[in-house]
Amino acid sequence: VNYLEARRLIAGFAGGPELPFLFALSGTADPFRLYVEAAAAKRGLSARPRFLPFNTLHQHLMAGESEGPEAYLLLPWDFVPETDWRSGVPTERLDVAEAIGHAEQVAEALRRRPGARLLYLPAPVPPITGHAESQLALTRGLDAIAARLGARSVPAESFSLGTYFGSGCPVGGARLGQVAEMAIDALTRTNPPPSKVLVTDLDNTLWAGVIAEDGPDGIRYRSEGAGYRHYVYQGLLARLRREGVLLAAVSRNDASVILPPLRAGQMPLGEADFVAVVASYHAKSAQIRQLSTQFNLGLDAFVFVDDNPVELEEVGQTLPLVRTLAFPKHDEDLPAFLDRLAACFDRREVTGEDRNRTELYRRRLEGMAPAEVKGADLTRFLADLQMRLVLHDRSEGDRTRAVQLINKTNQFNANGRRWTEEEVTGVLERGGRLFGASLADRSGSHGEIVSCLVGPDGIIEAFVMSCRVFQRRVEYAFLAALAGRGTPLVALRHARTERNEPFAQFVESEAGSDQDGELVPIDAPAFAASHDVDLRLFEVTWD
Amino acid sequence: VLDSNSPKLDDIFRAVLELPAGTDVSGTRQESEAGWDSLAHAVLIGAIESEFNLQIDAADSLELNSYEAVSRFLEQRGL
Repeated sequence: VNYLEARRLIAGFAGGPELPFLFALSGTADPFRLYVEAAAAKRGLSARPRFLPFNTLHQHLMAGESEGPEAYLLLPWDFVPETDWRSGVPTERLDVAEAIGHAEQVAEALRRRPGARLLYLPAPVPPITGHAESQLALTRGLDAIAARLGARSVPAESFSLGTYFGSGCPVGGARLGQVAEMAIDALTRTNPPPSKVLVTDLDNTLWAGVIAEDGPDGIRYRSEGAGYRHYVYQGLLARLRREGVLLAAVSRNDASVILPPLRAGQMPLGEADFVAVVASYHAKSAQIRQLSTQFNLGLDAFVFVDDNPVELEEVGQTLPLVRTLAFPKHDEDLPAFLDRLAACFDRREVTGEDRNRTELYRRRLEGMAPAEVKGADLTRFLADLQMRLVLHDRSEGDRTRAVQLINKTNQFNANGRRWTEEEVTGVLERGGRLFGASLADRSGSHGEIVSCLVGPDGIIEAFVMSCRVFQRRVEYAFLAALAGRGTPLVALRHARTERNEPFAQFVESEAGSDQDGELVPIDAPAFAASHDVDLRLFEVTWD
Repeated sequence: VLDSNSPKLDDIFRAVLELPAGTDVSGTRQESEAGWDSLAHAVLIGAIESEFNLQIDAADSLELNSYEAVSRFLEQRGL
């Protein structure tokens, strides 16, 4: 979270059990206060952090026993003081062996505090050893000491020399939230046993792309370009499977859509590597709960990976024991993600039984049907996403994307009919209207994701929404905005297709039944009134 | 280009300096604001880095001693 978000989080936090702790670092710690409080609030805890006076970490360590929970953010100069940028470069070359010896003494003092949770930030150090080889020996020696202490590694780019020079705080403002999150996570996590089941999303997680829109030839999973991240992820999953981790895939899709690439033999992972491949438009939390029952494994044995923050929140809220990890959107975040994922399944030895586990559980699961259960109420989470919905009247001007969207969308599609430009033009010339909508939220833009063609008689002839924005109540807000603006909406032309189960669910939620092949009547004022609550999740504007 | 009345920057100043909602902060200067001590300055710089996703050199940090200076600094960065 960034600064203002952290403020909002704390302002909206009603309070919870206190978490008193010492957040120890040798520099200025005060800029962390807000962020550790916010990270604790996210876990329902009221943080009560204490900080050390500037530059007194060493004295504190040597002074003796700890008093209560402690989290340490350690930097190279906490082990070797000569590496501290604020002290400048020493005139004498540093002897690496001596320096590592000193570092081991500090490490020994840390070991005398067995309850202390350690983070190590491998910040760059000044050139103090005389040549590159010994400089490397120094930094690698410190990394090894930190690893032996069991310290979690903080991304090196968290260090900001400008901030350190300026205020004495070693972490730049843009990274304070991330480091605070790691500290609170270290303090609150009770070393759970290794997880046993990894549940992964498919679209933009196991592969790049959305298979229902891009097709099996449009998704990417090879060791090149957009597929690279997913290729590496699949490689790790393949290794974990061989070591006895159970893999399951859960996707908002139809089985007929997701199985072909898993059966094609082109990817590092195939269908046989998964103990279950669950295709369902119902809540992912429900599928995970069902897997837990079928496997007779506790929910704390599950890890869930998805690229979509809404899915992660739904699972996290409904099943708090399940560990949730966000698949990274950028390559540079992949190493830290894979480290966290691998750590969930950390085990030293692999047995023959481990290797055969997938087959064993596959047999146990045969015939399992997806669970049809509603997910968590995400209203509060969705409000925090700061979603902005911009509605477009595409009746005039460029409507390429709007028509494309109608013709490529399969899942949230009212009736599956494809339209040519000429056909759309014909409807518009007779007095019809074409509307679209774009969505953005605090993480960025999702682009134009809704298209809706309304005939001159007020019948919605086409209504589609990209599956990228499922579960955000966009479809309800969009129609409520149209209805609220006085657009004459009379009915919706709905027909079941092989793939539009999500739309059928939408109709069922409004009309009480699927109404396949029928004109579904719309009471526009009533719809606008009953979905005002959805509309208020968005900042809605017209362009 | 940052508007001189950037709501985000206003929010940061009010939050860090603990000023009431709606306070006009456009004329705020470190020398005349009692709550703007060295600690608040460190928090302010961190908050600006956080909200605008940038890193500020120590030399620049010292110069950012008024709302106007921060506003100008961000504008120069194209924010």
